[in-house]
Amino acid sequence: MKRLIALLVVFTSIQAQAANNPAPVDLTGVWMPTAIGPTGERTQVFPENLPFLPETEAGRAAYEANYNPVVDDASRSCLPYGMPRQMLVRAQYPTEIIQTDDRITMIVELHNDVRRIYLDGRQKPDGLLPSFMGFSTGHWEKDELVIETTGIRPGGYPEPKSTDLKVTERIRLVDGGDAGTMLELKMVIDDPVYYAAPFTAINYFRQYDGLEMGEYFCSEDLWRQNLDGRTGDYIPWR
Amino acid sequence: MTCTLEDKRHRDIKARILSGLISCLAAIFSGPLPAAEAAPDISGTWVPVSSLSQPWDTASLPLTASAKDALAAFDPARQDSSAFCMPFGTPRNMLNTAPDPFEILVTDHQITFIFDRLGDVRRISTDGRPFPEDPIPSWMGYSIGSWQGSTLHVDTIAMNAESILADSGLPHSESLTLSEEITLMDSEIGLLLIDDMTLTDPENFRTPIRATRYFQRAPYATMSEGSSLCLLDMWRERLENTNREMFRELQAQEAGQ
Amino acid sequence: MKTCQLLGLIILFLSTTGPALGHHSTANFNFDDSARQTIQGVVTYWSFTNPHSFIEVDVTGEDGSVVSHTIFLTSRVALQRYGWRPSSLKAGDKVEIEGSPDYEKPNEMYLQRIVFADGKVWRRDEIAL
Repeated sequence: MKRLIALLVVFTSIQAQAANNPAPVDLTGVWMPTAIGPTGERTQVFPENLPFLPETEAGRAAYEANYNPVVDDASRSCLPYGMPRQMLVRAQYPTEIIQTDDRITMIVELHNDVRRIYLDGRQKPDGLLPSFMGFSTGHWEKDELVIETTGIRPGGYPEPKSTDLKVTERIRLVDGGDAGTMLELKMVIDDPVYYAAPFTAINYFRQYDGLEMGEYFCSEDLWRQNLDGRTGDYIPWR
Repeated sequence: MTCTLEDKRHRDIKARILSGLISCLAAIFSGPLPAAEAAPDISGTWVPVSSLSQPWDTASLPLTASAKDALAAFDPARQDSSAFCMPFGTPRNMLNTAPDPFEILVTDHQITFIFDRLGDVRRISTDGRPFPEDPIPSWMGYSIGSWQGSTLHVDTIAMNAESILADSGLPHSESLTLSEEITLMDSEIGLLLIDDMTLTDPENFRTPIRATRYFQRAPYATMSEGSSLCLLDMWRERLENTNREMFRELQAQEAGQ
Repeated sequence: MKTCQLLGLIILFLSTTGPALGHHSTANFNFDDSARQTIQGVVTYWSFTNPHSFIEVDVTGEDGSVVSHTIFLTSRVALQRYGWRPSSLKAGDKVEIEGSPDYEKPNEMYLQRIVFADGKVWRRDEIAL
């Protein structure tokens, strides 16, 4: 009898451990991009000789053919950068990371964009339309979160992106010294239509006491103009 | 006879104790240790059940004179934020009965509602913090929540007066306070999330007004970057109205794709 | 305030002559220190908004003529982190504004420094907004 109970206890606890596999780190928090890396030195997001411009005639022609005056005219629109640029900005707008069992959700203040990184092994649904943030799946390798993103909306803004664009990220927490725990984001950008080879970008994020996410809605200036009864098209950057 | 019956009873009792022990151990080891009263799991993707949600009959609401004036003067083209790809704001994002999905994420310190249609993001602090002393009115306001048994109680203040409460233009002031009791309930159509809302705004309502909204799980709903799509449509329309040449180029490009 | 100071210190390292904005074009402003101009006038409109904010100011010339100037700033959410509020400005406020002028439009500037109606001063160049 006692042996049977002991066996049952062992059995149920093994079952329990298999069901309850917590993530190795918790990335939840409000993270502000920083140019100062964990060693206290300034860091570069991109490598020195970045093949951002199309290097081949075909690439250049494709870029020009895909130019979209609505999306690609930076001074006119306030639309998401989308992946990958969304994660590489240094402008002082934070990103909130919310980690739950089956996914990691990132809310990027500039411009109130939401990324979902699925951890539950799901595949990209057939026929899923390309989106600014793409479709991301992730898994843990020791303390590092490895993310693969495809299905990014093609276009020319803020840099040329094709339907073949694939972004791989490795995210981990690192000791930032006086800046506290930092988040390191290393990214490999692979788009054979626009770049001769995949290249690596890196960004760092840190936390501040009391830093909260704000509200950033892109059409607020137009809304204000309209609400205040100001007619005409006059907003200089629109 | 007596011995046989006692033996059987003993075996029965032992069997009952053993099965009780097994299920107790299974319960303890198969999940997080239960809190004194477990909070139900409200996380997931939800969508309004319009057939269960009764919009207000504006005529029957205890409106003040200034609310009635605002309602009569309401110009949707100028004053409805959704027409400008601005968010619904709180509480209209919860009152909305159109089949627009939202996600609820539950973490230790915060419960986050992410609405797909216009990009509303509600953040409900559950870490025991107080309201800020001098809150700046915003589209979502400041929300503080706590579990009371199986009910999530949420208080929200500082919602800016540019958001309306309904398509009709029902107004609210910055002094509006919102009190919500959120629960889960089984029903014939499945699990429902229920939001019992009480709105207090003496500038607009002589007495507090109430509304109940029902939501059901929508695990296959696709979140579609609704606010970005709204902006794209809006820019397209503006381009059409301000730069016909460029707009025709865009149309040609889209036709070619 | 501590948060603001911390942010300010870090952003000092990031400061360039141009604002650390998103993608919106500020290429039309001349950010040379030597090009800066200063105006004094009365606020007629204040747009405290994302993605950009702006102020319209009526400046009365010596000859009595009134010219409207438009002064641009960064996003509301960024300004709010540095203490700006919707109530920071309102129509009727007398202000002094120093800014980087637009290359082409004579009455448009990007805000570098402002003296509010109550005499308080706010500088942009320390924190590169």
